[in-house]
Amino acid sequence: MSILTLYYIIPVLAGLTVAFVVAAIYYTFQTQKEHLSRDKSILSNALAGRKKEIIRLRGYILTGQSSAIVSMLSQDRSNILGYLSDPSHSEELYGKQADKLIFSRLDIHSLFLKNPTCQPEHFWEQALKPLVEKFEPDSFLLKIYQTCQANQFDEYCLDKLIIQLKPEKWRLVLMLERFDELLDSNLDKPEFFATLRQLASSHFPSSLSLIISGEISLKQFHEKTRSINPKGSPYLNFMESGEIVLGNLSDSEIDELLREMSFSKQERQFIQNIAGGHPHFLQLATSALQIAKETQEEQPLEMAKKDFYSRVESMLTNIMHSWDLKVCQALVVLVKENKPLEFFNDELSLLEKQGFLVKDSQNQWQVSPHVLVDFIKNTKPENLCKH
Amino acid sequence: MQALNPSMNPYVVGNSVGGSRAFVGRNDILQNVYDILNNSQQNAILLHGQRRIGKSSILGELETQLQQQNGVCYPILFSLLGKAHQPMEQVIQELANKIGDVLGKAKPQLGDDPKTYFRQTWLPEILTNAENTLVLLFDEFDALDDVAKHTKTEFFRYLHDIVELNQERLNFVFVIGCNISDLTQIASALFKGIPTNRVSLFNQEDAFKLIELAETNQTLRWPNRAKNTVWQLTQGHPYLTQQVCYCIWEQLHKGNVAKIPKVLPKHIEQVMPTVLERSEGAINWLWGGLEAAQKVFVSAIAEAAEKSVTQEQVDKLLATIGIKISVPTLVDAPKSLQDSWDLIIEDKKGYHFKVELLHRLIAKYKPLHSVKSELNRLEPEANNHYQDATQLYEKKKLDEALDELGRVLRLNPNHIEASKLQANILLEQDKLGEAGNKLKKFFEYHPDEARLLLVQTLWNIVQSVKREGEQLKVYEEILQFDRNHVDAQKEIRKIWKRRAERALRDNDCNGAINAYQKIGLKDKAFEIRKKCFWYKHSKLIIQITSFLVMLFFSYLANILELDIDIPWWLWGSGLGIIAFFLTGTISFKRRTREEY
Repeated sequence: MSILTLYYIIPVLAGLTVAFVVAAIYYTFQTQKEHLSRDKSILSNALAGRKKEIIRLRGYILTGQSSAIVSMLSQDRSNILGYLSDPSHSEELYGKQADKLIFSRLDIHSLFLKNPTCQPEHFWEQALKPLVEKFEPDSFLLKIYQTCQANQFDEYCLDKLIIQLKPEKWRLVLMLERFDELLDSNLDKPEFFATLRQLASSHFPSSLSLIISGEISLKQFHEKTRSINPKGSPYLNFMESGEIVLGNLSDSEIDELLREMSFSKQERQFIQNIAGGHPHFLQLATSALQIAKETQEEQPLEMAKKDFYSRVESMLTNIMHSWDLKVCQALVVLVKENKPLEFFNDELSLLEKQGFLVKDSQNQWQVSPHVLVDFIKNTKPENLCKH
Repeated sequence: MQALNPSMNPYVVGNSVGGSRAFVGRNDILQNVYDILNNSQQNAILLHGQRRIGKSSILGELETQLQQQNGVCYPILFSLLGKAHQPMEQVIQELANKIGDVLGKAKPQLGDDPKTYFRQTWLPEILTNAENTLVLLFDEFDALDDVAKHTKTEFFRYLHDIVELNQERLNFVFVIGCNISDLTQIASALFKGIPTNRVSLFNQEDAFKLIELAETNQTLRWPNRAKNTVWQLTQGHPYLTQQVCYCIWEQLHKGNVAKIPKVLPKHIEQVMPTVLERSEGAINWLWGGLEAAQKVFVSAIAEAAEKSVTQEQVDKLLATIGIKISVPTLVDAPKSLQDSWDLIIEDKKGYHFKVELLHRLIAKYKPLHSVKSELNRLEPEANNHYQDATQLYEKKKLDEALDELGRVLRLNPNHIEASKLQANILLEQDKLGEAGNKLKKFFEYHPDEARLLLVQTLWNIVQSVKREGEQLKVYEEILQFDRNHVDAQKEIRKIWKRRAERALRDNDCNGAINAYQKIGLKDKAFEIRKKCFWYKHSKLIIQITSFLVMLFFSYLANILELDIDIPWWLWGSGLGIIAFFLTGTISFKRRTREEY
């Protein structure tokens, strides 16, 4: 090999190698970035648009007050509770108080699945578990807890336990998911609800912050418990001003959310149309469209629509079945007759609050998300509402 | 300065604040309680007031203050919520546990008969041995009023005995969330002779103390103007004042805050939508306690455009929801709303809300049209008769049911369900005319409620009518009440079509055209009009044509110089006139009819 060859070819080879390495790094970085950004968008979407609600709930937790989250979409509710109780966000959310907050999440549905004959003492045992884990052996608090255990967790004893958390500056944040399933259960008793009220509301700041979540509003809850408590204070009226109904996101919030995700204007419009303003629906629709685009479907929008429909169909069935008959009928009449009946005014307002109806520029009711319209049209009338 | 930690928001909108820094005012009520504690002749006081007005907070504050008096009194705070359905023995055991705990004693063993042992042995011993007096603070006392009558009688008698056990060393503060008059007789008998104290709104000084909580912890500045604006809106309503201030605090601490924010009146108006939204529940508890007539009256005042409304204006508003005749409970409503509920005030200008924010809340969440369902309950006695009437109806005793319904409507002419049932029974008895007349009157005030039944009645009436004219009248009446009634529309079309056909047979063009026009068949009417034109004017046209033909022939004869001496226009005209009259006798009627 001549010197000339070495003189020219080696630098060229070296240059090519460097270019190849740079290209490989760039490609890997880009792929990683794309992957990360997609993951990130989905992750951040889990709480997208719910910042206001989280800030409000944080305020109630930090001041020892209670609150209720109402939404037809359990995913929406769970995302918020998960975020609030996630230790990795704790310091950012609660600052110096983070160490003193003990979160206990209890899903009433799962509780009864595990133990269909669950009694108040079983409930409290589960609810207090994360708290008890913090107690030192032989501590005064542990002794009170054991006394409570011996007394089947009666109100008096539990009150004493909660009061005794104060000197330690501890606060138990008791999150009860699918709270409405307590109705018509073994725990649907005046003493049980009165105890919850007493523990969470009789002191300020309280060492028990109760955050309940479910499908029914506190007003509905109180109507349903009126038969067991016709004269006394409604059990949870102390948290009425802290009730948070997870409705639709505003147009600007949806825009902001979708703009992060490199969709065209037409695609954004499509997502907003089929999914409405509920973050969970938006997320499912976004994911359906992403998959349709990645698999290079000829008609990605059409494909995404079908995919989205199949993903939410059973969810919509559950939602419609969980509504009172009149609420469900109000929506069906609106979709089928294409006009609302005055008779259903209250029900339509409730649906608006829950984010399933919006008023257009001409003050006319429109169903949102549009997938709900398709669902009502495609489903046999007798299967739409609960009987 | 960074955004402040939300834990520094000093306003509390849910929990009881007794014993905390958030408790302000109520010195008058606390003093009244202390007076009782120091009075050897009295040992009980009853505090009553609307829900969420701060009664439990007062009890909490009393508990804390009495605890801090270094053993002068032992306060025992005991909530009776949820206890109504527990066995009395269990409630007594829990009360004894609490007393024992406060006094530092072991858990009391009340034996097999806790009621007797507690009253006759355990409590008297405690009172004899304890160095100081006991103050039993009973929260949610009215919850106990919800038990079977015999249990209730036993319980309240027992409690009465306890109250009289030791007037010097055993004191009671009872709290109820309703008016004393709303308690059953058995329950209210316990409070006979016991002083009562209504827990109501803060005075301005105390309301300002509450507002200034954020100045105390240096998180907001409250100039007088802003404090006055809050005062004007809430008039010292503790819950609503806390709510407004809580929302303002949240609003002014969003994002980074450079210095302690100053509250301006505009901030208060800005947070009003949030305040109204979050206070919706506040209206429900208030609403639950009101009588039907009070609800209707309050909604009417809230609906009025003016702040103050006269009785006359109220009557006009009530007429819009079908209240044609006022009933005694409605007449009494303003007084009870002022005296028992502290909700409205009457001055020279009329009635107005004491608390402006409650006015806004009721106008938003309880508009007048939404209280229509309360009309049936305006007169409780009338409603009882209605229940009797429904039972008689179910037993098919229709005449007796009608008598009962007559009583209902005499007592409460606004009873919607009674009017409907009355019409239904008349229909079942085939008294269609009477039912129709009653329903037409009912429709004037309650069109939505009466429509279906009235239309059904008229439909039944029309089936028994033979004459077409009368049928048409009833069908048209049906459309007056329900313009979308498809069957009535069809029948009307059928009648008019029949009429048009008859008119055509009788050569009554105008009648046919009119009939077709009535049912909107404009093309058909136009077609008839065209045909009728020829029919109507055919005689004249033929006459004129024959006249002109004759004239033309005579003119032609003149040109051809036929030997006629009489000038053509003279004999031609003569022939024309003859032809005119001759053709006039030819009838086209037959042909025209055939064409049709």
